[in-house]
Amino acid sequence: MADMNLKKMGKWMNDQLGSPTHEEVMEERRAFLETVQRSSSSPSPVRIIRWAAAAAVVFGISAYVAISLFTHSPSDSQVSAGAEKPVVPSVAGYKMHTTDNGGQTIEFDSGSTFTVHAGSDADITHNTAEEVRLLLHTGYVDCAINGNGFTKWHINAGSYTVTVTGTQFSVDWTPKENHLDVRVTEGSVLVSGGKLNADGIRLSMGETVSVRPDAVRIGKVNDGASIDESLAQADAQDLAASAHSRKHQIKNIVSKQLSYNQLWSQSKKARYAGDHDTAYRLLTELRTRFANKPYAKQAAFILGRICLESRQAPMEAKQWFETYLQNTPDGPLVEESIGRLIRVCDQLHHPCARRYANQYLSQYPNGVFAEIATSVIE
Amino acid sequence: MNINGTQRVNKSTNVSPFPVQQDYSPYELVNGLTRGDQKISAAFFDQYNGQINRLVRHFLGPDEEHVDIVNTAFTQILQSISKLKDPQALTRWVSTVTIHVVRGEIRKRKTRRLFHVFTDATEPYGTSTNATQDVLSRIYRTIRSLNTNEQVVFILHYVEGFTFEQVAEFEQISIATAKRRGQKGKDTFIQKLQGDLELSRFLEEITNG
Repeated sequence: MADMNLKKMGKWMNDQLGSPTHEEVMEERRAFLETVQRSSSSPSPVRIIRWAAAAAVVFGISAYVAISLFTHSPSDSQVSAGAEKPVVPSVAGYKMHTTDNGGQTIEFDSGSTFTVHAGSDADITHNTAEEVRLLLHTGYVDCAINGNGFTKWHINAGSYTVTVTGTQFSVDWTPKENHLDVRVTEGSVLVSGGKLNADGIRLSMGETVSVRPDAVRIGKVNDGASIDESLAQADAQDLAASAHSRKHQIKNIVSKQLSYNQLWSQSKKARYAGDHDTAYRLLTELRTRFANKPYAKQAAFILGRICLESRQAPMEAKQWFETYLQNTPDGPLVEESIGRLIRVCDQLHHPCARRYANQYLSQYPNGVFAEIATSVIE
Repeated sequence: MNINGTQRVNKSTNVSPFPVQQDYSPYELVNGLTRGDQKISAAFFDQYNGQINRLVRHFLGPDEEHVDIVNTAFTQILQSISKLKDPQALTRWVSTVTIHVVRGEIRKRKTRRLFHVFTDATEPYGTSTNATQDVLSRIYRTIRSLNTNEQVVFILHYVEGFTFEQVAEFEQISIATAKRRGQKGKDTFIQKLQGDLELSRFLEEITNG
């Protein structure tokens, strides 16, 4: 029997076997949805094992958690790695083990991101609408949280837990040395566990906590982030140099000399340092010189946020968000862009507000901006 | 079927008794399943039940345990969805998990047959009610005489219609291995067929048009 005949036989079998009956499919569908419900309401054996392993790690190591918002200045190797972090979707159980050569960014539906830097090790142990939990085994993670009022965000590091309700922050911990530095530049976080007292320490914008084996010190953030190699030397010479002088140096950077990756990473560092003017300048430079590159598209969204939140320029913010939508109609920040456009247009009493609200509700009926979209339409 | 699963799947192209409500990207489907989102899970089922049912049916033929095996495949998919690192590969991954489940079932039944030599006639496969089903049952009985790996390649290539390159990708084996298994499966199938003159004649009729 030749190949052709066997394929004809296969086709005949295909025709004769037909499709499942409606009743069969209904039964399969019901069983599947019941399984989904069961697995989401009770942890599966796999999850239990994973949690047990995570708990063992938590108990096994004495860890410290560091949170910093826009002001942390990672090492040069982290800076270069940060520019090339692949973005992956957020999935519970996802493990991130980054080498010294590169990091990784995990992006959530809401637009929140965890950026795990080079040489770090972390797992997403929980990812539901109610709770997201990251277990940081070692290393440094930047967290940008778009709070929606009900999702709890937790970072576990050793015996410490950082609970966040909506801010941007970084977590950096070194288990070998038991050193913890937490810095917050926006919003607030709760650091608890470990050698801290039962209530933990609540840090607000501009506050920092340093936990060492023999001391816990709470202070103010005063360390701006360097955004060029030329500043690294200054970092080494005097980490306590004033933010004022650093900002002055940052402004003097010749952005035209920076590469594509440098422009992106330096703009991020400038944003994290709270220097939104520099971030704006670097991002517009990036869009001008590398218009077709991926970060140029993302830059439009960030420029929109800077204009909206720091420069008090809603008209320009509207243009940037619309630019992002035009450049990246299927991008990961479309929901965020449309949501912010609703706000901006509503703020400007622009007739587009209703159009964007309708568009948003049709695409994301249960999205985080659904409430404001509904209120605009009503 | 798109083996790479890289495109947003239009559900209207799938056989589903349920109305098409919304298309979800693989990214949205994976996240929804991970979160236990009922609406997205239902959409996932509607989008992939045709593919999974077809694979199970092609591998096992008419089978009383068909629904159970499909349910097992869906459960396995749900339990291991967190292992899927690239949501763009969802369609291929669904097939891979289904094939894995079916392969397990084939092995289980082979083992069962080893301990109950005479159970073949009472196995669920053999429930023929008319001439066509009788032929199908005989074909599947012949296919079952191949070893499990050869069965999988034989079905994927000759019944599902995948190329050996695609089979190799599914099975995560080299193309040469896929071809070798396919050839061996084919040889064994033809050899066994010669012992069933009636089936052999019938197949000649259908293959000659």
